Amino acid sequence: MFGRLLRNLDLNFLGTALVIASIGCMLIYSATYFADPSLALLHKQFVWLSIAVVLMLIFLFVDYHVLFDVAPILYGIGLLLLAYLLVWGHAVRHHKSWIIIGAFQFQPSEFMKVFTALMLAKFFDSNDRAYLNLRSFIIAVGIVLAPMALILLQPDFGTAVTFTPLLFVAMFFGGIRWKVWVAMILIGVMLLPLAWFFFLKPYQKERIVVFLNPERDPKGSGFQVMQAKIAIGSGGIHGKGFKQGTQAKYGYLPVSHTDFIFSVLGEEWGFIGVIIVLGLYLFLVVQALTIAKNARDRGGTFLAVCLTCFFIFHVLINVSMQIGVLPTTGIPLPLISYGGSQAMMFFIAVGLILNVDMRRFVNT
Amino acid sequence: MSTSHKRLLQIFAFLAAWAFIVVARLVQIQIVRHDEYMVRALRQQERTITLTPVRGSIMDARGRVLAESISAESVYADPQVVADAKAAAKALAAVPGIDATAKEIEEKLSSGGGFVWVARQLPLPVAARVRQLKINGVYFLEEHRRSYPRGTLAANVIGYVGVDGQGLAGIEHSFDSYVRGHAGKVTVLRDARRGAYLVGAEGANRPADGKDVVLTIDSVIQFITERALSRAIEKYRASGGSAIVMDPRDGSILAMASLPTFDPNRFGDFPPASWRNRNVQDMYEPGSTFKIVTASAGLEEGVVTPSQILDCGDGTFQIGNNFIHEHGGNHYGLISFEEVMMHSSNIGALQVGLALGPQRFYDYIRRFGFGKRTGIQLPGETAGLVRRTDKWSALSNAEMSIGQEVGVTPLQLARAVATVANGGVRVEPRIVDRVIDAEGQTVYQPQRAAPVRVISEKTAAVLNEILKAVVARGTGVNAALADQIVAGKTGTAQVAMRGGYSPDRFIASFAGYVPADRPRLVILVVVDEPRLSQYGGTVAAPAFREIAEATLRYLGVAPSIPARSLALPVAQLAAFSQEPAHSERAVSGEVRTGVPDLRGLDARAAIARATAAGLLVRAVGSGVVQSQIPIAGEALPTDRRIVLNLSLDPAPAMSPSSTAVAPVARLRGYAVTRLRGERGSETAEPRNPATALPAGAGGR
Repeated sequence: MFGRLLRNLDLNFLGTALVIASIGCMLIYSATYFADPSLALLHKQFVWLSIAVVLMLIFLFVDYHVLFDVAPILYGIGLLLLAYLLVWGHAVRHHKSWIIIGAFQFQPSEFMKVFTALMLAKFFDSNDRAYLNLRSFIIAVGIVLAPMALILLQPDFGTAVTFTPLLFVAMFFGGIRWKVWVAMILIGVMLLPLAWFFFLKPYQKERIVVFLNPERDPKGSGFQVMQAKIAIGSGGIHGKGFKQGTQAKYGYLPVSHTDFIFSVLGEEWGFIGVIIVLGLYLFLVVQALTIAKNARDRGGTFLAVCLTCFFIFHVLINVSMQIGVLPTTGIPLPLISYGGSQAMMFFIAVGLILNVDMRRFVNT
Repeated sequence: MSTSHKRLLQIFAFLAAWAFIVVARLVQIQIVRHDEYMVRALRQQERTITLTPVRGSIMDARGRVLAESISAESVYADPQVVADAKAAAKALAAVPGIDATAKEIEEKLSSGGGFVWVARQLPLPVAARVRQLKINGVYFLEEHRRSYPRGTLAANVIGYVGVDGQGLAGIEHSFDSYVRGHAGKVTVLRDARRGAYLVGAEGANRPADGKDVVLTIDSVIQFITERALSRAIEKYRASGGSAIVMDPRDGSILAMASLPTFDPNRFGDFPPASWRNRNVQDMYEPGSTFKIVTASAGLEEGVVTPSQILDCGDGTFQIGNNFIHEHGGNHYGLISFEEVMMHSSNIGALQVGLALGPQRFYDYIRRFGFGKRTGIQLPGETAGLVRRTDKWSALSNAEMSIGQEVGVTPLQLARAVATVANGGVRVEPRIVDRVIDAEGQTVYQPQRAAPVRVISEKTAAVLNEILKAVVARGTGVNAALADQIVAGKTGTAQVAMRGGYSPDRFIASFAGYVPADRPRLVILVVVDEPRLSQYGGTVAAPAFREIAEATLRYLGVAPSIPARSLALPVAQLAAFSQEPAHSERAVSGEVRTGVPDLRGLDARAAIARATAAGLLVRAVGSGVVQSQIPIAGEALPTDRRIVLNLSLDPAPAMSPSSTAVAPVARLRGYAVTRLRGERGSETAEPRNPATALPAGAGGR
């Protein structure tokens, strides 16, 4: 059975993901070798990636229909962990988003992205109407809003934002009339001032102010974006070359191995490198969407679409914030940024998409 | 399906638009505005550090180092980082070699800024001890310190540098552009925390170290000169002085002393007046030494000859309502021009000057280079003061003939003497021989001015004989050497004051050259305001002799007087003159009984010596004693009489080329105008110089 499944495995998709992850390792090396010649972070990333690949294989070989069955359990555990964090978690850089077990620490919110996607896909799998009725719509939106709300309370605005593609999926593919869209946008606009005064933390407000006027405070909050833009801009067309990026090397670029790794790419590999990597993402996404289109059932399609949307949103938001198109939020670049939880999350997503692909033929 | 597809398309249209914005933005940042971001990246990451070059050395003509730069370390501190200012200050002040007190350092360390000097340019061992203290916030900067290993030697020529290495005086100043070198620049990368600078960036512009200046000065001769000058100053309790030793053949300054001097290693501890180089920066009225110029012009123009008899009368010369006197109230009556020079008669000399007339005399003064900078490469040179003839008063012509109303620098006067020594050709003085790089290659050599003929070779030869006579039998006897013939002229000038001349302040000088017939050295000694004697022959001539004797020996110049013609060592000769210099050396002379050997001595010395031996002298002829009766070693004659036969120096005797002598009786006042341009029409026998020797006349 696995033999036949493996023959259906889309090696292009898997290969693209692995190439992107390899590029990530090179960039992490570039970003950290100078400050930490022992390369501890790179070695850790290798460990994370190994674990991530194992997890990918698990989520690949277990039929996604089976996963749909356990989705409520996974989803429930995820919600519990998020709730637990709110009560007993320790804030790390403003966020109570880490669960620490001995030397091991992970972000439940990352895994929750997958679980939520699974949960949502399972819901749509059993609901095949073109338009959702109000009850179904509330359920669908609720599935996404519940973890989002918990994550917002951590408060991890960036990660919460990454759930919005699921909301769109829920509403778009669930079929919402345009009047509802208009109403929601209006409500959102009206909520904005409320959010500004009652919800956003000062540092988040500052980020937005700085985003609107990054030159205002070049040494303060605008520092990151300024330095990212200087890094990317100074890279030019050809880039400064592998390991030659001075912005990251000399510490001008903060968290250059995680959220701002795209700037390292832009500085060292230039516009050509950036386009190649974005091209790889595009290739990945197009394949994923083809998989979604060819999926055996509605649940498979939704699962693949939800996960693909994660990729698209993460890439676009991450890149946008580094080039001053969006305010800075803590969102990693899929498969490239350093970090265990996110590496695992994205490889699980890869596994799940491949899972859908492998089982696209009825009766296999 | 169509609905689903339509929605899908809507979503992807949105995403594509977003992606387009992202790519467009990337194009803008990475391609369109790349240069701008590149500049911004470099601006924050790069720092340009100036690398100071090592200052070049200053060496004497034989490569001995007079000024060099040695490694030193400066200590500075960041008061923000220093934790305990009081303890740190105490520890720092305790290090031997740091001059500041603990309180002073603590004040600095407690200041608000981020940078204070703790100590500049410490020797490396001292800095090492500071480093051992391991005080947080105390840092080190490698610098170079200027060192003058020979201390005060030639300090007024070399000059000094400020704490930041800029040449402030002397050669250090005038050759600063060569010695300083060029600062280098290195671009280093700086990390975001402004921590360590990461040196080793490419494209470094290495500093070019300064070049070395080779002087014409010879340290040994300089030392000899300074020592002799300082002895003269001490002995006669003078306020200061200057001395120049010059090679007349090419104008090289072999020594240039200016006292009081200073130690350039710590010039701040000395009064600014001591930093001056009097030889070029100060002018003075030369007095009688200037008669060399008067004589040159008079001989060249034919208004006078050496043997020409001049009436010096009763020692007073009237011009209008003013009177010019001889030194020391002397009166010489009728004497030859050679004797005028020998005794430094003012009235004789001024008559020559008057005979020349203002314009001709002025022209010669200018041709000798007075009133104009010599162009020597030392800072602050003064041109001296020679007024144009239209500014002259009725007295000026006469006054200038005897070296008054004219301002000269010692260097100008030395050059004038060198002109005579050189056979009438003026050579410009030079103090920098060349500038060399680290490999010893010459990178700069000062251009030498073309020699200018000022007086004819013949005139120079005649003047040479006269100047030899000055030393042999005139006011310059104290300059005489045992084994070399010296030519020279004394000078005793009153110091000009507002409205006239000071009655008790003088400048005593001696200018001469040696060996007289093949000059190797021109030496000028000027002693300012000696208090125990005023005469150049007494104060300055011995210093000349000391410099000449030691320098000629150092240079290995062969004696020009055969040893056997010497009756006495020069030290003994000196012992009998009224000049008490080196009397301690006279003790070494053997005690003689019987008739002394007076051969080789000039008339005055011989008479003094003979008188000391209890003999009555009858001198025949003029010049140096050639023979004597009874001869040396014989028992003293019963009548105690000794006859000395004198003639001019063993060297080719001066031939009195012109026999023209003006009627002496009329050679007075305006009568001289009659003589201008007249040559060879009348003759007169020179009087016997020995009889004309004024008894007890001091050297002047």
